[in-house]
Parts: sequence; C-alpha cells; structure tokens
Amino acid sequence: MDTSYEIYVLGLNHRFAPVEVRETLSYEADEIPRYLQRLLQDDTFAEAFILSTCNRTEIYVVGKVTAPIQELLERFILETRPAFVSRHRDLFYFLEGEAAIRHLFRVAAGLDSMVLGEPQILGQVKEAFQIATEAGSAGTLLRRLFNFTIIAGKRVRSETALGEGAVSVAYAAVELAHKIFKDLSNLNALLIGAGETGELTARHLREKRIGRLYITNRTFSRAEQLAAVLDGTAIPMRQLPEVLREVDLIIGSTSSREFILTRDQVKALLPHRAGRPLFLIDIAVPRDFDPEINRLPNVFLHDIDDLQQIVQRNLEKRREQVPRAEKIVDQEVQNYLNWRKTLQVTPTIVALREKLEAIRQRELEKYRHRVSPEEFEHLKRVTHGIINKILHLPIVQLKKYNNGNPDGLLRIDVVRELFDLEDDDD
Amino acid sequence: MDFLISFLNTVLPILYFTATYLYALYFFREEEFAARYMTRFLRFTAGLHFFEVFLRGIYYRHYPLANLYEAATVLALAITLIYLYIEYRIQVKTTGYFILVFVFFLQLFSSAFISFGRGIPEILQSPFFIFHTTAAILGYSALAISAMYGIMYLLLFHDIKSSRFGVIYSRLPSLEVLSEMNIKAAILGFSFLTVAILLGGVWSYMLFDKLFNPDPKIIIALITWLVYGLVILGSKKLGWTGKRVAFLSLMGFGIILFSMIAMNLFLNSFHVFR
Repeated sequence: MDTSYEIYVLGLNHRFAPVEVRETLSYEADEIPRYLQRLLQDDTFAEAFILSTCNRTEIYVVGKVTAPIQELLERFILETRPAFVSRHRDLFYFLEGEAAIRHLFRVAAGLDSMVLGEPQILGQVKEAFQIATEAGSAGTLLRRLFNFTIIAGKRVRSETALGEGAVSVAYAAVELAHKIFKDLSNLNALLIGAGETGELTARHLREKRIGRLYITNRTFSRAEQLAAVLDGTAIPMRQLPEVLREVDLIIGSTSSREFILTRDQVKALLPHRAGRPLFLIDIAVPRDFDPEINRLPNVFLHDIDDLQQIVQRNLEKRREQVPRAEKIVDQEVQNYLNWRKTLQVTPTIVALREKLEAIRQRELEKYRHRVSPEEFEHLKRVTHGIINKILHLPIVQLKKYNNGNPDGLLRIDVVRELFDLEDDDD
Repeated sequence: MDFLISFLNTVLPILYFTATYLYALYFFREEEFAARYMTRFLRFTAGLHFFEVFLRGIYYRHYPLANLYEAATVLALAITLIYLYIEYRIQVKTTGYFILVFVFFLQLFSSAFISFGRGIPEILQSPFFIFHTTAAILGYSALAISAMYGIMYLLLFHDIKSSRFGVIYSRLPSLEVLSEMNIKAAILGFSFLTVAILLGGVWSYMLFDKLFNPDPKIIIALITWLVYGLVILGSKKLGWTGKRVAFLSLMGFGIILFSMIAMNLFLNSFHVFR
C-alpha cells in the first residue's frame, strides 16, 4: 500500500466566488490555530495551513495520497463554517502536488490577485505561515515550502515590474503629482469635500509626507472628523479664499452641482505663486473645477477620466509583465521540487557513504608516503571498517522510513543538512 | 600615429551612436540589459574620446580647439562629461537619450569634416587662446545641456497639460527636476560665457588695442549672454514659470548654434576658425 504524502489545496477566490459566498467562508486569524489542530487530529493530514483574506480562503494540507482528501476537506469546511451553503462547493478548486505548489507561488506573487501584482498578499501569506508555524502545524514539507514561496514572491517584486505604476485613481493622482513636483513634503494640499476617493487621495498624500493638509466641507463636522484621521486642518468653507493662496495641490471631491472653483478665481491666485505650478485634481462627478482652468499658464487640472487613463495604462504594463513573473514562479516551483526529490532514502544513503568515503580517502593520502606499503594496506582496511561500522546504524534507521512518511522526511532532511550532502546532480 | 588618430576619429561617432541607442532602449523599452551597461559604455566612450583629443593636441602640437570641427568634437566631449556628472548626481538615467542624440550628431559632424595637419596660426598658440576657447566651450556645453533639459521640460509639460500619458510621461523625471536642471545648467553656462567674453575682451585689447570689435560673432555672443542673463534673472527673481525659462533657454541655444555654424560657413572675419 502506498503510504506517501502529497501537498493539496482546496479553496475558493474572487475569480469564481462572489463576495457573498467568500464572506461565509473566512477564518479569523485568532481562530485559525484551533482549526489547524482540529484538522491534524485526523491522521490523514500531517501538516496544514489556512490562508484566509477578503479575496480568498484556501486550506493547504500535506495528506496521505490514498485518502479522499477533497471530500475530507469539504466536510471540514461544512462542519467549521455552518454559514457556508453546501451547493457552493461547485466554486471550489482542488489542486494537488505541483499544481497546488504553483498555485500558492502565484498567489504570493500577486499573479492571482484581483488587482494584478498588488503588494498586500505577500504579507498576508507570510502571516498565514507564521500562524501555522506557531500552531505547530507546519512540518518539514510546509516549512520549506514557505521559504520557497516567499522567495518566489520577493523575486517577482524585485525582478519584474508587476507591482509598479498606480492602479487606483487615488494613487494615480499622487503619481501625477510626482510628475509635476519633485518633493511633496514642502507643499501644502487642500481637500474640498469628503468623497471617498478624495479622502483616499488625501491619505496617500499624507503617506508621502505632504506639508499642511487643509480639509473643508459643507458640513464642517465632517471636515473636522476627517482632519483628525488624516492629521490635517479643518477649515470652514468661507475661509476657502485665504487658504487657496497657501496651497499647491487642490483635490475636489464634493457632490456640488456647480463649479466650486472658476477660472477667474484660480487666475487671481497666480500672481502670488511666483512661477510655482498649481495642480488641481477633480475627482468629483459632476465636476468641481471649471475645465477652463487648465488653460491658465502653469496650472494643471486633471479629472477622473485622466486618472482612469493612467490606471488603464499601468494595468496594461503590469499585464505585460505576467510572462516574466510566471517564469520566476516556474523556476521556484522547480527548485522546491528538486529539494523534495533529494528527500529519498536510497540517494541519501549513497551520498552519505560517498561523503564519508571521500573524507577517508583524503586522510589516507596524507599517510601514503609516511608508512610502508604493508602498513598502508592495514590503514586502508582499518579505516574502511570504521566507516562501515559508523554508517551501519544510521542506514538501518533511515531505511525504516523508506515510505515518504513526514517523520522520515524530517530525518532525511536533518541528515542531509548535518553532513552537507549536495542535491543530486541528475 | 596618424593612423591611430584617424581611426579613433572614425570610431567615435559609432561609439556615440551605440551609446545613444542603448539609452534609447532604456528610455523607450526599459531594457534591463541597456540599463546595466549603458553608463559604463558611455564612460568608456568618453575616456577614449578624451584620449583622442589629448593625442591630437600632443601630436600636432597645438591646443586641440583650433578649428570649428575640433571645437565640435570637444563640445561633444564636454557635454558628455557634464552629463555623466549630472547622471551620477541625480541618479536619473532616462534623460541621457535626449542629450546623447545631440552629442552624436555633433561628433558625426566633426568626424566627417575634420582634417589634420600642423601649421596653426601663431595667434592660436597664445595662452589667452587656450583659456578663452576652453571657457567658451565649457559654457556652450552647459548651455547645450540646459537647452536639452528645456526640450524635455516642454515635452513633458505639453503631455501632462493635454493628458497624454505615454512614454514621455512615464519615463521622464518631474517637471520640477527638469526645470531645475534647465536653470542650473544655464547658470553654469552663463558663468563660463562671462569668463570667455572677459578674456576675449582683454586679449583683444592686447592685440588690437581695443576692448570691443564690431565682429558679428562677438555681437551675437553678447546677445546670447544677455538672453541667458535675462533667463536667470527671470527665473530667480521675477518668478517666471518653468515653461517660459525653458523656452528662452532653447532660444538662446538656437542663437549659439547659428553663430557657431552659419558664421563659420558664410562670414569672413578675424574671429572665424580656419
């Protein structure tokens, strides 16, 4: 009977499952250890971890190849997530072996994300690894898998442009600001209105260490509220004319039906600016700023369509990076599989024997010309005997585990590491 | 030796073309391979170029700025060296393409028409000549660089204003950086030009007993000097916008190009390179 183990994943993600389904199947970080332990009570499973984010829930296990893994995992989900409706099982994907490993690497690299190449997922994957490691549910196979996953994720970040360029309207506005100004930290910004995207843009500007951030809104309390969150200064609408003179960057995000700023209002600001550019971002629909403002010298006005255009372009550029990213994923999958191939009893025994034999030969050479030929023959025989005696017990022990059992893999891995045995070069 | 010098003279435009091509690959296609080698390649080219100019000076026994074509090749070298310094300082490599296109054509022009020989007029052996022309060449190369950054500024300005987010938008540094380089290079060039004009005046006084000659080239140099003086004053004190400064610095450089080429070809005055 085959007693070896393999890596499996069962899960669902944003591609097929709508948010109503995904939310019935999410696991909170603090409850995951309990569920991992519950999984491992079944001795079908040797190792496990759960990755649960708002876009996906995936259960990875190292399980016996002879067991009905998919069924067991589905039953586990139905038992632990009663809100999950049984017929949504159609939305699951179930992958095994190399396919499961590749899937994890692609997820970590951001290739499977809703926004291609987004950076948070690698952190979420690391957190899932951390939880599993602390809960003691990660053994030899998974721990090494974690290392390779993180390497794959980091390599895709640093060696491709998969994560580059703004892909949200708010970030596109900041990116555009960086094309006009060298350094945002000595500029002041003004947010008019409290629309969601406007707030997000202001938040990004704050992260980029913008100088002063003024916030104004028709409902003053809302401006105060936002100012507290964003470390800004709330001002009443009637103070707008004075503040306008102090700012270099204006974000419009109100629900007003009329223009908040007209061409003449902005034109009046220019004499105070001494050649410094003024950047207006109009995120509101209907628009807050008169489009004619863009005709003024050294004033840049961009609306939501312009920003969308930047986002689309950057997304296209990210998509062009996918083949390079997939190649890196393939390489790391191969590296992991190569490592796994070394975890076999017979090649390890052969390598161990060769290692010791090489040491023996090196030491013998030192004495070849110091002793008589007869004495040298004796030395050879004695050392040969010693090596054999030393090897006997470890070999017997290793052979006991010639079945792919996770405990055995751990021992093989330890032996390989202790004696620094190279990977097979086949 | 003749062979070595004319060989290097032939190779230089090819090397500058290759460097320009590498910088173009980096600018337009973000080619990793180009990014890795282009700066090293340009440094190597500049080193070889310096060696060639040095060799020419030693071998033909004159300060290698004796005619228009020698001036062009030294100008190309000086622009390259100043550019390499800027690249090192601001750690931005995307602007190199714009600078090097100009350098390549300058070197091509020089290599095609340059002729070697001894027998430089005695007047061109004076130390005044050396300092006057060196200051002028350094000034002109800084002004050329200023003009190139001016062009980049105007291109990016136009693209941002009209919401065209293409390769210019995604690859060039910010308008503020471009404008800064535009003005800094103009100030540097203006300073060297001032020195060159002063030295020229003194030299002229010693030779002809008068500070000022009503020579077309001198008149144009003075106009250029005034234009750049205005550019600097405008940007530092009068709050001119980056666009106006960029535009005027381009105009100033247009005048220089005109004085360097047209006058040497069509006018006959004591001030023309032979």
